[in-house]
Amino acid sequence: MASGVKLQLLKHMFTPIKNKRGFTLMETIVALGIGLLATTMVFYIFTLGLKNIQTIKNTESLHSNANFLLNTLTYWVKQGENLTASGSTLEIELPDSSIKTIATSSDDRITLDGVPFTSDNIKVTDLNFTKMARSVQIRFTFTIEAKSGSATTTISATTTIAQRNI
Amino acid sequence: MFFPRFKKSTNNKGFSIIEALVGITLAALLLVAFTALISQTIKINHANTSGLKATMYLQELIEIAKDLEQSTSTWQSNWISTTGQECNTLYVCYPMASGTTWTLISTTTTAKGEYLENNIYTRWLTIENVCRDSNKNIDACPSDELSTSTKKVIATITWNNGFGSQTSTLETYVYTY
Repeated sequence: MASGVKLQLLKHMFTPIKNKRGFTLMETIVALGIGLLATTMVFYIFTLGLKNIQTIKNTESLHSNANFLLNTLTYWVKQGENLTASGSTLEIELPDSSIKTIATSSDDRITLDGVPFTSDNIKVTDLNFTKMARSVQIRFTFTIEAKSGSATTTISATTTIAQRNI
Repeated sequence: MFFPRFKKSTNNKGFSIIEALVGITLAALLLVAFTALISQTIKINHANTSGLKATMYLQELIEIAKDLEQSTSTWQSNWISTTGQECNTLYVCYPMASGTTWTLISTTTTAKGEYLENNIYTRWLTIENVCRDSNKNIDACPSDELSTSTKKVIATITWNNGFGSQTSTLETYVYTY
C-alpha cells in the first residue's frame, strides 16, 4: 500500500466527528433497558435449562440405582433357601449355608455383606423388607438432596421378589 | 439504527411500529420455543419414572403369583379370592398381604383391581384355565383336555404417564407337581 493512502486513512481515523448524531441519553437508556431485559431473559432460560439437565441426571441416577438394587436382590433372593427379614436388614441363606446380608450403612447406602452398592450421591431414606410365605416384599425410597440449582429428586416404590420354586 | 435494512423512514428517530413488532415477536417466539422444550423434557422425565415404577408394580404381581404357587398345598384354591370369586371372566383380582401370606381380593371387572399412588396406577391379575393337546403341549382352549396342574396368570397394569393412558401386561404359568 502506498504510504500516501496510509496517511490518508490515519488522518481520517483521527478526524473529529462533526455533524454526526450520536445517541441521545434517552436512546441510550432505552437501549440499555432492552438489553438488560433481553440478557435477563436469556440468563433465566439458560439457568432453567441447566436446572433441568441436573434434575434429569439425578432422575437417571435414581432409576439406575433402583434397577440395580432390584437386580441384585432378585439375583440373591432367587438363590436363597431361607430368608430372614427385619426392618432394613435382609439375610439370605444360600444352599451352602453361607449368609448374604443386605442392609443399610451409616452413610445411608445399601450394602451387600458390608460393601455399599448404591451410588454415594444417593441417600437411602427408607428401606424395609417384609418376609412373606415364599417371597420378600421390598419398600424403598431413594433421594438426591437439593444442591444449588437443582430440586430434590426422589423415587419410592414397593415390589416383591419370590423365591425359586425348588 | 439497529435494523438499518428495515428502515424506510427518512428521519433517524426510533423504531417504526413494524420493527418493534418484529422484534417483540421474535423474542416471544424464542421464549415460547425454549419454555416448551423445557416443559417437554420435564414431562418425559416424569413419564420415564412412572414407566419404571409401573414395571415394578407389574413384576410384583407375577412374583406374588410365584409365591402363591409355592406357599400352600391346596394351590388350586389360591386362585380363588378370599371373597370366593374366581379371578376371571366376571372378576379380576389384586393381591393383599395379610400377615405373612398373600391373599387375592376380587373386584368386578368394571371396578378394576387395585389403585396405587392416588389412582395413577391400576393393576390386576386374571387367572385362566390351561388346555393341553394330545401331546400334552399347552394349546388354546378347548383342546383335548383341561389341564389340572397348570393355570395361566396374566398381570396387567394401566397408568397415565402424562402423555396418555399406558397399558402393560405380563404372563406366566403356575404349576403344581
